[in-house]
Amino acid sequence: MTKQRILLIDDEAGLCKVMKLNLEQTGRYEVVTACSGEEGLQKAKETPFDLVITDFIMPGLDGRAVLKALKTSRPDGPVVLFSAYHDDPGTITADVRHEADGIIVKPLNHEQLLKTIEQALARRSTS
Amino acid sequence: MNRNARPSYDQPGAAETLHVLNGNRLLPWSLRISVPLLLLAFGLLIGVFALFRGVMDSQRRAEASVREEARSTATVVSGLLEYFYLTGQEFGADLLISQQSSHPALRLALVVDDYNDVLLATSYRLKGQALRDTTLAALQPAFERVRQRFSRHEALSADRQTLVALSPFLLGSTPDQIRPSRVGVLCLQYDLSSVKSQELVDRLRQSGEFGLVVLLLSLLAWGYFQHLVTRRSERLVEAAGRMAAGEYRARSRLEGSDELAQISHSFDAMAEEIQGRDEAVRTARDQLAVAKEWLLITLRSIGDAVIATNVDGRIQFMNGAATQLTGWTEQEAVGRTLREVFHIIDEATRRPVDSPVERALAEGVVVALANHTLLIHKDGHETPIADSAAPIRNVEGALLGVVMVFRDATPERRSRERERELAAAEAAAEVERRRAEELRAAYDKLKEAQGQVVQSEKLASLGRLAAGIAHELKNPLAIVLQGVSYLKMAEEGTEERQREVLGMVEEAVTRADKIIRGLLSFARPSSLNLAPTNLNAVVEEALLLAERQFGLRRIAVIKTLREPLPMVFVDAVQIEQVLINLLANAFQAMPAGGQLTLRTEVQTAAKGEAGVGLRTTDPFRPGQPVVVCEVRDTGVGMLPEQLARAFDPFFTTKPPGEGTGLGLAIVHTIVELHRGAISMESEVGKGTTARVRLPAIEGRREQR
Repeated sequence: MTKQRILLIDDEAGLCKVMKLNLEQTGRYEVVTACSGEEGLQKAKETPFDLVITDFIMPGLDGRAVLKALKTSRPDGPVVLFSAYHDDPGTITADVRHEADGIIVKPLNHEQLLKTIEQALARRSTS
Repeated sequence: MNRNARPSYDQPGAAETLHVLNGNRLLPWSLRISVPLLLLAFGLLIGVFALFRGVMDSQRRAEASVREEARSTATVVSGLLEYFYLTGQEFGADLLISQQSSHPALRLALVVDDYNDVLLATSYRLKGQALRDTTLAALQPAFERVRQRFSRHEALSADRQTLVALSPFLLGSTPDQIRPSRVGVLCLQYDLSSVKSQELVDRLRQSGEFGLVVLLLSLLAWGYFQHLVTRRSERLVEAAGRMAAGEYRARSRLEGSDELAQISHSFDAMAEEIQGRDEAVRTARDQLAVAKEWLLITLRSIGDAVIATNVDGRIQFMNGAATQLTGWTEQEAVGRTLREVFHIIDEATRRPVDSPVERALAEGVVVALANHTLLIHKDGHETPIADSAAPIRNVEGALLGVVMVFRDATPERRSRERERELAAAEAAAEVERRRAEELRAAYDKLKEAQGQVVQSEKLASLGRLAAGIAHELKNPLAIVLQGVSYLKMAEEGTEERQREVLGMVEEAVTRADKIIRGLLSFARPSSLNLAPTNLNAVVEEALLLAERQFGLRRIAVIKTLREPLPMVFVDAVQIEQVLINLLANAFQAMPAGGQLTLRTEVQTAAKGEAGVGLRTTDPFRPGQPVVVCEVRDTGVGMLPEQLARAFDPFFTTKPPGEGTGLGLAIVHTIVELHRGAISMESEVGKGTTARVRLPAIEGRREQR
């Protein structure tokens, strides 16, 4: 079984690094990190990923813009958002909630994270 | 060059000449009416004369033709009558006479015998009547004459309306004679009136037609005249009238080469000249008025009193200052002698002093008045004055009058008195100042209350910040959680990586703690340990601590601390924290080194400066002394939009993890708690200046 390729976008470099270690430790995923929305979109353009995980609040291109751009170029590519706010409707609006394939709230419980990633990947393969 | 040689239009003689040339005294109307009227009258005269002559002529011709007719008819008819009577054909005679009525002018034809009894007539009534019983009775002598002379006769009645032609003929012989001796007379009476009236009608018709033609021709002539002369002369007259009324721009501008056009040209040239002169006069007058006005204003507005007199020493002008000192208004004073208005006495002797004007007039030199001269006002009060009088001369040097300039010498004399007054005023001001102090204390109390309100508002805003805080804290928490998960599941033999993750976890926890600590000091309600403090000492201490903490990497420090500096009533530890924060920012803004300037000074809060006003939210009142501490770096600087948010909590220009974004927010809070103000100026590439302003302790408080 080939490893699933995941793109991880967060302006917090330390978080990116720890998450990459964690996900790759499972042996199922290969993780590429990006420190900004712009970098993430650039990397997504270069090589296709099975899943993109992006922070929502970032300087420059934020999670909303990244989500829109990814869904425009690849509507079936799953995108998971993560944010410090789980229930703030002013931040993650209904349309974003609808378009994203999953939402994870910080701080990231590891089991929760893996579950959301698997669900998002499964949704893509069934559809 | 010689202006006198120019033609002058305003000499009385010239005007008179023009009037005589006008000649319009004969005709009371304008040319437009009088010329056609004259023509009409003249035409009528000729027409009437011609008519009269024509009528006379035609009457004579009518008479002549009728007379001719009468003569020939009488000759023919009398011959025939003679024949008829001598041959005894009397009926032929009767027929002949009766036929004569065919001529339109013949009124009556009759034949009388040798006894003047009517034999035949065109009117049967007359037959057999004696001549003396008829209308022709008056002509009986003429009948006799014709008969005796046996010659024709024509006669015109006195009124020339009736023509009678008498012609003799042989009627036959009397019974006793063989030779015919009876002579009859044929009488033909013509009525000229109808012929004449016909002639008159013809003549009148002729005259009428002729008159009509003349009238038409006259009208044409008048029209032409009107066009050629009257209209144009009217334009000339109108232009002259406007000119006379003062409208110097008026011109007639007639075209052509006739006399009127020539007059028009001359008139326009004259008008040009007059307009030019008028404008020159106006300009000169305006300039003169302006110059006079300027001179008057100058004289009126100078502080010294000015009085000008003519050569007789009578006042011609005085200004407001002179009015004040003498008590005389300019209207009252003008025309009076100076002696009446300008009473001066010697202060010591109380004796009148000779007016300097008289000496200036007499000697023609500038005269100054001796000291200790008193001017007596109209109302009697005395003013010490200093003055001088100078003669006024025209350009030729002739004396025109004297100008006298003087001023109130009281201010100089009263300076000592003034000083005493000033001292009293100062004492009053001191009382006022003390009252202001009390007021200020009350104001400060009010502001304290205000501070509590501000504090409660701060707590409310803290609630709004909770979301931001959550976001800031959750990132390090996520790192901790992820790190712990990793460590839990980490396989053996990866110690190096585990140590790295542990280090990251530690760092994240430290960061979270820093955020929480900053937040605490930001949200901490005021519990300030206030004491009179010398800000310079705080600055020195903070600089020492900051140097120890951050090190001076190629940074030159310049201190410009003002001594002595007014004390400030602050919590020294808190203010030190403020300064350390500002210094830390300055150091971090200059990673490649630079220059740090620390400056303290005292200023007076001025209206219009930030935070200065009378509202309770304004930290400073206008005029309040303020101690200023400035921290200036030559670092990277900030963009305007960054500068605008510099004091916002969690706003930072540093990379994530390096700054909490709370430093300046805390600084801001602390300064506000001290009822001070903080402001920042920055330019990218040039550096940033932070300026902390704190209220200085004033007056007695300093000694407390």
